[in-house]
Amino acid sequence: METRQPLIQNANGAVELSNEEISRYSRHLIMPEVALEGQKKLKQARVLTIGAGGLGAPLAMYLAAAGVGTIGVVDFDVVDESNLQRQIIHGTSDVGRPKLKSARETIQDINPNVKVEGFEEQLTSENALDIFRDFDIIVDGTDNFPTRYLVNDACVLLGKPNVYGSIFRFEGQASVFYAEEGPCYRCLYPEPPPPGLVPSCAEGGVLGILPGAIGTIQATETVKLILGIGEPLIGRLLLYDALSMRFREMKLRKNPECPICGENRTIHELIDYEEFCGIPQAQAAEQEDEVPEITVQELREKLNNGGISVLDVREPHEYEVANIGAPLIPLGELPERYQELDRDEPLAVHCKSGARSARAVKLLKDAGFKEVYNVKGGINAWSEEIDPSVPKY
Amino acid sequence: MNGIKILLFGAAADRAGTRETVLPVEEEVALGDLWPVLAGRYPKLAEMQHNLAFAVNGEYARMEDRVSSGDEVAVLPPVSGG
Ligand SMILES: [Zn+2]
Repeated sequence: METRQPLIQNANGAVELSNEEISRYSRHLIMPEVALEGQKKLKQARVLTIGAGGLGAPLAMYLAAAGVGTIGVVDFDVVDESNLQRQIIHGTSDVGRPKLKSARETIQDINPNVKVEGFEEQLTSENALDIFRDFDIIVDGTDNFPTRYLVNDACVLLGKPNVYGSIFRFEGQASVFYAEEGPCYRCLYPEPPPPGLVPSCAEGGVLGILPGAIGTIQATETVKLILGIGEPLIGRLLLYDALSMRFREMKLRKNPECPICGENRTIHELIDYEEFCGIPQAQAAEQEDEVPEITVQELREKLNNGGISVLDVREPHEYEVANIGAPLIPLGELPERYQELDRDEPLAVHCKSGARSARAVKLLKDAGFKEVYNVKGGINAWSEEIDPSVPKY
Repeated sequence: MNGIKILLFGAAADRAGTRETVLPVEEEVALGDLWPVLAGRYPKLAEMQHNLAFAVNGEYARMEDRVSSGDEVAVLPPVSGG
């Protein structure tokens, strides 16, 4: 049944299944591709999931149900209301609790035979190798580029497979980056995008079900690698588009000049990934062209005394969710609509949380507006600090 | 089919405002020569150039790889969301 070398070698003698486990895994045991031997391999396997978020949730739940013996979870975040639309490992009663605690309870409830090893810390260049070393497979469910490159490099250095997945709006990608047998993430994307070039899920949104589709693909690949069955996604990037309901596939090539898995590799240890992804540089640049700000408290005071107008630069569909009655000119249309505004009047500009309005303030200043302020924290700060009847989204 | 079919994904599709287009290129060109034509049509794509991955007919391709009429080019920006 095996089509390749299983990641877990013959588990004979090392682990046994109890009668309860045999009943639980009955649908696996009657398939020759898994059978008793395979189920023991799953029990012996140690899988590390990076992040207990959108991808980590379905992934960890299915791996637990499938009988993976040890599941490591790296996450130091706390459950937020806005997570519940997709992170099904957490429930409404978990809001405000550490994700790790909530994930552990859900996993234990699904399958008490699973051992959960929690790492409630940020994954860094200092701890990654130590954490990864004891696991057979690493599954990448992170939500930022520095950690994605860190996970890739640590996996290449340790010779471990990186089961990759990522999501954006209605689209997802999955692959298995395993430098021992094929390309790594850097072979595909040698250079990280500068901060702000590619929107995150927090900025661009994501269909709640989407990580379910991608996370279960990652879980499937993980189980196949453990058992050594089927064809893994090594050297292939799977693209999923929920809107057209289409899967596409792209054949990948190992880059002979890859700095970490190529023949003349130049990276021999983990680096500073924040620096590599340009994060401190971007923060410094941001501080340099700082725009005048106004807090929501100051804004309320000024509004009460008169003498300031407010402009909203979000999109119309956001305006519908929540607004404070300010006129709306989406950021993209602003340069063509300056004439609708009075250049000599003080103006406060807001968006959802302050990033887009900062860009708007810069545009307006450059266009000759005399007194423009960025509303710090945007409409979400207004909702939190001034008027809770305005929904926060 | 005349021309080269371009498929845009994720943030690249958002920037271009479309997921699919055809570039009227008749003779064989390097992918690197096709790029300015695409970025000329969708200027917001231009700044993504160094961070995109390309595939020709379902296979990862580099800027020096050749494309010709009838080929399908996929433009894939990196995705970080999880
Ligand atoms: Zn590589």
